[in-house]
Amino acid sequence: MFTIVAYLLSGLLLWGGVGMLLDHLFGLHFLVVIGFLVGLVSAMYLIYLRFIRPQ
Amino acid sequence: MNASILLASGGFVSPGSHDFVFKPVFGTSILFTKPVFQAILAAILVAVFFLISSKKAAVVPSRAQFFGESVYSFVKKDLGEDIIGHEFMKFVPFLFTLFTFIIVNNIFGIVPFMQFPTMSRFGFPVALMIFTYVIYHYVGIRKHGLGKYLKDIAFVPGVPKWIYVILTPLEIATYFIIRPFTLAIRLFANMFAGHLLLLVFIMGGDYMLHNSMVLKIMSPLSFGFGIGLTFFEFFIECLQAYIFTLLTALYIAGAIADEH
Repeated sequence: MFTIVAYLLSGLLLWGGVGMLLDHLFGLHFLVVIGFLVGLVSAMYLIYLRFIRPQ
Repeated sequence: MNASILLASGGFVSPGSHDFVFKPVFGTSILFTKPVFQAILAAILVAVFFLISSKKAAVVPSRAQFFGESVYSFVKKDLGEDIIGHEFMKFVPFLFTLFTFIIVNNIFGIVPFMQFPTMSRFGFPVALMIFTYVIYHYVGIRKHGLGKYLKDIAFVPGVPKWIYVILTPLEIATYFIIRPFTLAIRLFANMFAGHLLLLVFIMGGDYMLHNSMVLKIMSPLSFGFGIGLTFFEFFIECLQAYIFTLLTALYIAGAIADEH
């Protein structure tokens, strides 16, 4: 359970952070949202791969 | 409005992070503050209690021996054997020390005249987290070898290659940054918030007691909440010590598991 929260958190922070950084570099405003979405989706996919598929 | 202005006008000073900063007991070094002495005292208490309770081990146990053995067998069975598996025995000393040290330090938060949970200073959970962090990576690397251990963490098997671009940074961030920090922050934040909650109700009750008649009548309510929350805090303090040890055991189990 705690591992799932850790995955979601790191997905949001990492890819949201990358989006924010790219926004800052290019002077845009929407990449951070895309970053959050990518992070969330990839975290959920990872949770599926690690916990649901092996069973 | 800041605290000193409120204090000057006789208003209520709300408890905040300034209540967690202690002046050194002697000298000027931050190594001589109350939380540091509490941590040392906790280490001494744990060591002395378990030395005494196990020294005169008898077939018919004394009360102290029975209590010590219950705690030990709880950590050994529920946190060691059930989670780590057949190699659990070499981790039991670490898990046991971690559990007893944290629980004693947490319970200092509601012991009269101490009433400060050591773990609500961020440095203490971080120090414990570093132990856990080093140990679970070390046993993982020793069991699988550095290359295979990192490969198991970074690459989930059975997905198209291009997805690794997204997933691998995520796995590395989770294992090396997010996991240890959430471990330390969970313990710290629970102790910090719990202590703050007690401060609000008890200092609030005290303030109301020295105020107008209406507030005087209301103040037992605040004290009542304070007492109730103290019992609740006891529960949280035990629970957080358990969770910290449980997660340490889970991380070790994950590191030495045959496949992730």
